[in-house]
Amino acid sequence: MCIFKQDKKLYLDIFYKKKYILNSIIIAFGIALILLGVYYIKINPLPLIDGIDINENYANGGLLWSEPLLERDVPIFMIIVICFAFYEDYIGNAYEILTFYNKEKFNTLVFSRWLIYTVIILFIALANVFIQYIYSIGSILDVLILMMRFIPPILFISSLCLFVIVIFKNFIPAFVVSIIYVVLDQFSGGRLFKVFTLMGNSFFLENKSLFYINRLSLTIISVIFVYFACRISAKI
Amino acid sequence: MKNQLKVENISFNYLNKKILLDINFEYEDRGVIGLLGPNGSGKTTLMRILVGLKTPKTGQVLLNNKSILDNRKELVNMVGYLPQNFEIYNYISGLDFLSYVCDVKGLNNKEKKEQIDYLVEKFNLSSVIKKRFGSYSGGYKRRLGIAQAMIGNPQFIIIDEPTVGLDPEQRFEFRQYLAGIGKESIILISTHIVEDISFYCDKIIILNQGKITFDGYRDDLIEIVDGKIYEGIINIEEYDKVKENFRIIEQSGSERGKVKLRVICEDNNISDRFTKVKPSLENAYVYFQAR
Repeated sequence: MCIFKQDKKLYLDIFYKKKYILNSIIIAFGIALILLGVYYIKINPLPLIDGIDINENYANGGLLWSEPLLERDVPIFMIIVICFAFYEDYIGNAYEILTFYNKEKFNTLVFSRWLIYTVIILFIALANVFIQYIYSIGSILDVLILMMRFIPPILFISSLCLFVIVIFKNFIPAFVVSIIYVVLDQFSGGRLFKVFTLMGNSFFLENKSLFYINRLSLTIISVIFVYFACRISAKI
Repeated sequence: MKNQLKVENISFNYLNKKILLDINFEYEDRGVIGLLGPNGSGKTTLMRILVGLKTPKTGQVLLNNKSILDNRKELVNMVGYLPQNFEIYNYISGLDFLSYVCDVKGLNNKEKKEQIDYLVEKFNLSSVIKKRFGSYSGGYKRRLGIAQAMIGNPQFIIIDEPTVGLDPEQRFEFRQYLAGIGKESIILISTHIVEDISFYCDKIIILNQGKITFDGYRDDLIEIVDGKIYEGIINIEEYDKVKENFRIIEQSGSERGKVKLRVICEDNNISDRFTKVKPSLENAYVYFQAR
């Protein structure tokens, strides 16, 4: 009886203290980082494009009208979806038995779940763009090529979120890190993360080569994040 | 068919700290191995290495002469695992999860149905099997856990701390289930509660600070301490004096104002109020840890 009581109390104490205190620290740290980033950006004026502030340009729909949606709103929505998809793995201990039943050195269960959610969100977002542009542009091929511009930022944020969840075994750091990335990128008009900015369409407007490097970098890093997330999550 | 388990030279470090050091043991045929050790001795880490969830620094695990750590597909088919904190998603039913495990283990539809029906009946899960896992009590969760570990009739079943978090009635009930399983398998049960394994364990391994300090049969462990355990009833006022002179390994209430004690006395130099008794497995374990 005594041993049981001690075990349960000890288990609950450690479990809850660790979880809630740690999560609170991570959230507080994330908020502090955002505030610091915003302050830094406010005291350093943003560059102009054709005499217009990047953020003002962005707020008006950007040059291609879909940028705020696909480079800000959809990534934020993607973060919420990925965190929701994986939070229950780590809120209890479900990941342990699920990892045991993974027969490969690469966690196919994590990969397939990530892929399904990412593809669905991408499909819905890009279908929206397709419908918007097909009437004004006309050519299906041109619209499809246009849509390709928006895949890397969504893929990047989705893979970053997954990678951080797997590393920390907790969705809170993933949520915080990913949201900070999007928010700081937005507020800085792409200056903070430069070649890894999500706002490549505006930030590299005058430099096509850098734009392609930006999109390619985001894609390559996405693949790296997903690969290592699935390799790491094959063990606990 | 006889099963043979060999664990050879397993070592594991974490952040430059030695968690497990040169673990070696082997076992043949069917039966239950009890892995005893205090909290923090490395039991769960060893369990996780044996099921391939952690990679050891050195060593290998052979089941019927096949290395199971190098081949995850073989491992999942040959081994059943019940972790210390068994959890799945709250919104899925026990039936769905058992069905999933059957699919992972490659059972066909007929085998799947037979296995699930058998396990649901064996572990009295019929009233909850179609309900969401989130609605299960601790006892039912554990029963579902042991049921999923037995799917596919694995040759090796690993159970980590089977009764932690259960109330006394559930623990008793769960021990009854453990006593009845694995007539065809090698079962390794890790626990720091001796009662969990005292009735049905053949072989005992004691782990302390990452090393095996005892590897033998329960009778051998009891024999070490035989003749050194004394039991007597004393007044409560004398308790501190007895505690100063002897190591108390068990105590229970007696009549009012008195307490029944079991103590270790190596040299026979003890009051007549104490008589020599046959030690239990728990007494032997406590004595062994205190040495």
